[in-house]
Amino acid sequence: MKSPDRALRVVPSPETPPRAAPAGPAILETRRLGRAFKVRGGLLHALSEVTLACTPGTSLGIVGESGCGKTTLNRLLLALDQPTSGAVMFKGKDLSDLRGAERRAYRRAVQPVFQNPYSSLSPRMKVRRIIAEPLSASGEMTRSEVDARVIEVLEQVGLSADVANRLPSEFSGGQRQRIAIARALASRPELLLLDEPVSSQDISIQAQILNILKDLQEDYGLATLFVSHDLATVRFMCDEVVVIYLGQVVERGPAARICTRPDHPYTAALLAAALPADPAAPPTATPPMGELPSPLNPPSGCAYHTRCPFAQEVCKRDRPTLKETPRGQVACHRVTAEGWT
Amino acid sequence: MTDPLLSIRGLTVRVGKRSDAPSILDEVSLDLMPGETLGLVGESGSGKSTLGMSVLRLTSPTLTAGTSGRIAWKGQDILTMPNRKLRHIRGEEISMILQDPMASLNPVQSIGTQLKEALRRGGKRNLSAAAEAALAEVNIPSPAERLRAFPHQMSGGMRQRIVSAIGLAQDPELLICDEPTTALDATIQYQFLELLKALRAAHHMAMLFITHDFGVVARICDRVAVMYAGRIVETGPVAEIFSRPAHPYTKALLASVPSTSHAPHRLPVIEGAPPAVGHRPQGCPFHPRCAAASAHCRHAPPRTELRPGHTLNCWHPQEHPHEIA
Amino acid sequence: MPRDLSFKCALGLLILFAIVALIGPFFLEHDPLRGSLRARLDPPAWAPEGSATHLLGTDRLGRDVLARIVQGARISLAVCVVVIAIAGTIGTALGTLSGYVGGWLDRVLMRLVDLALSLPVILLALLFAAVVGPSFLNIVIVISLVLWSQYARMSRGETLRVKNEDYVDLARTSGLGHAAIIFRHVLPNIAPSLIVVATLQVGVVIILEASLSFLGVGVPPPNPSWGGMVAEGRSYIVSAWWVSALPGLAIVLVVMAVNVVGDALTDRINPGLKGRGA
Repeated sequence: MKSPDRALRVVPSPETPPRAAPAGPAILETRRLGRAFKVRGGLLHALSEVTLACTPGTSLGIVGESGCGKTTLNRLLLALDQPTSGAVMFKGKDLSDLRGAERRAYRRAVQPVFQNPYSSLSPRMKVRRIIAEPLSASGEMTRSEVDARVIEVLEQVGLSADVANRLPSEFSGGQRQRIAIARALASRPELLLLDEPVSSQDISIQAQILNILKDLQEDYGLATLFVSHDLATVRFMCDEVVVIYLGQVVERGPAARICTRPDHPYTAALLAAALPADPAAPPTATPPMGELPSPLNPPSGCAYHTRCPFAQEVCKRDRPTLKETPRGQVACHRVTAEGWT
Repeated sequence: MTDPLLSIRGLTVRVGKRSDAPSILDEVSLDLMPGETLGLVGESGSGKSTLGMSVLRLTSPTLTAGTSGRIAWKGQDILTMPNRKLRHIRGEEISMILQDPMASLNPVQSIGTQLKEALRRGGKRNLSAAAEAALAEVNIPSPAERLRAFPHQMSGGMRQRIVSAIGLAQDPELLICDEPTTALDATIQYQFLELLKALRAAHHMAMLFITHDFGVVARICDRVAVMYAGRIVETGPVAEIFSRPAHPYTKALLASVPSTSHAPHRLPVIEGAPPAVGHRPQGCPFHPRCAAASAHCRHAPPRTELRPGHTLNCWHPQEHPHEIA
Repeated sequence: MPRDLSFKCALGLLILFAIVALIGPFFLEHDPLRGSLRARLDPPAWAPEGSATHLLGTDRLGRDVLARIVQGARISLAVCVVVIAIAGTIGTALGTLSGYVGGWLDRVLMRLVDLALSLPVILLALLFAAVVGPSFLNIVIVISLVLWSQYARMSRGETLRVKNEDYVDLARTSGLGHAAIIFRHVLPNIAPSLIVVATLQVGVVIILEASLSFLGVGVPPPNPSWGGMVAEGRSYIVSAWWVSALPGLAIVLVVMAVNVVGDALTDRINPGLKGRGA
């Protein structure tokens, strides 16, 4: 940690708009969100300066590898954890200021689906009670309304009504994940936070779940935030992608562009590592190198410079800012608005 | 034509001895040539891991008791071989890398101790130098210092490389890899696969590569055997299986994998879920989920050879042999 | 399977024990408290001088041993139920809270558990009896004072496990309060382990109650308690073995049965064996 303070303090100005043209007011957005954990030996910056927005009808992908801060971000967005800097805003209001009816509105509007459906369904509750939990917590519906809603959402995820009277242990992983999605839908949310919802599933089941999620996006205009390590599923699910490395946004742009012409060398490495099911695929020009540095002692300057084939002196010295380009945003010294330098 | 290194014929593994016990593997046959990498690809419950364990007779006693068929290693049947002889083959001729490197390493012994032990069994002399060389071969930086480190001090990718170094210490002729990259991040997986390729070439090894990931198969395998519900449904050279899959399962599964290069409106899906052990349907195990299924499919499907090396077990191949000629 | 057979036998024995304790006293021919000095130390029916009047013989005051064992079963069961209810409630409440809240509360409560585990039961009971005299209440308080800690430990550990499951986070995102989460999600999912603890404790409680009564600081005479009966009969162990041996046998059988059933339950409830993905 010998880098000058200056290098660590370079951040985008707060005026920087989160994205080029938001499609309407954001349901959930973050403003320079950061979370540091106190650990033995100092502070661990799990997430820093993340600004993003989930707007109606759009699907935002968050891509990164283990330890990049995806899970931390998800927990902050769900108010399961409190930020140490910046804020999460629900319809313009800071989450930590929400009380009473406003807080209930947030809880209703933002619903998560977690990765492991073996852990997300309480083993001693019948499916009906699991799905109804978000409804009964608000207490605004009668019992028969709740029951009708449970059956409705079960049908939306392709399950029959009799599922409601059974226990989670009677279902396979794929069916459990459908139940978890049904639960998320019960309160008629505006935004689904999907944290690796298919990565613990078999391939043939992954496609089923992804299609269900895409149906929900399109048929009900649901906004989604899709957290994943896999660029291919993000390409399928999302309009826009944010790539995170060691808790920092390194690149952002339309999914199709990110997956074909990435700007940031890390995105390029991720793309190369997303092995296509095609033995004839041409070899990549930017093979991934090196290991993830310790987040407790992150590299100076650009956090990626230790693994970057294009790193120069400036990359070791100065932390790059997130710059606007015609293609999106990128935090890399070697990339300018025109392209590569 | 050379003889296969490993030749499996009619391998059936049941849960227990009784002939009506549910089976995990059903009449599996395959050949592996020296220096060849064969991918075993399938979903969970397809029996691919049991197949890998059976080759070294490492399945649980209940399964070992229910194993029948023939696994010939260089002409000798592993299933009937005396334990002493089998121990000699394990590690020295056939080695294994598993998904979780932490489970393969002893947490209270240093890397060096564990590596040297394997090297000593492999008949190496100057153990310290050999251990350093072995670590250098798997791209571990500053190997001399790393020998004193313990498994928990390393990253997942590094541990998996150490496990490979130990697996290769005795210069095996066959390396069985059971999902070795599944627990690794994508960028680390990429590098590990590159390393395996280099090691394969340097040691002239054959590999049996067990995975659920078609991308990994495409990257590292010469041939692929697609497994479903305890059977091999299609097998052939990688290029062929990927470009012209003929079994409806292979075809549908390949189509359902999302890709970074294009985003379809919806992914083609296979409805339903793979059957659990003990609940497998009669005849072709895939027929309840198969779009091309007919009444025939309730009977055991015939084995067809579409082209040399490309065979499948199906009543309705998605490509007819005469169309190709 | 022999394991299964022993489980069934043990379960049958426990059910018999419960039935005898609950309704047995209503069918007794003899009053367990009233003896006849003419029938002192009569041997059991099968002994050479035994008679069918007293199936299991009589004690030194001529009281029917069978009647006293049946009545004693009721007292043992009562102590078990009351102790497990008190210790279970207090222990589970404190343990669950400790695991759920964590932090300093956890540290304080766990030191309290260590303290409870280090209490010498027998000495404590003797002290108690010396101050307030032997009584049913005395036994219950002393045993509960020690045994709550086991529920606290188990429920704390299990709460820590359940707290990390995603369904608890999901409940929070649904706006459920902490109390609702503890009652709807934590307690139902830690209950199986606590039932195992309670089952195994039945044996411990019976032994402790018997020991305390044996030492004269438990259920005060003339009320029959298995431990007290063993103590009373010990001076006649050579001439009238049945007075001590038969209640002793009752203790051994019931405690063994409890342990067999408890072990079997532990095996069955052992988490992670069923319904978990790879």
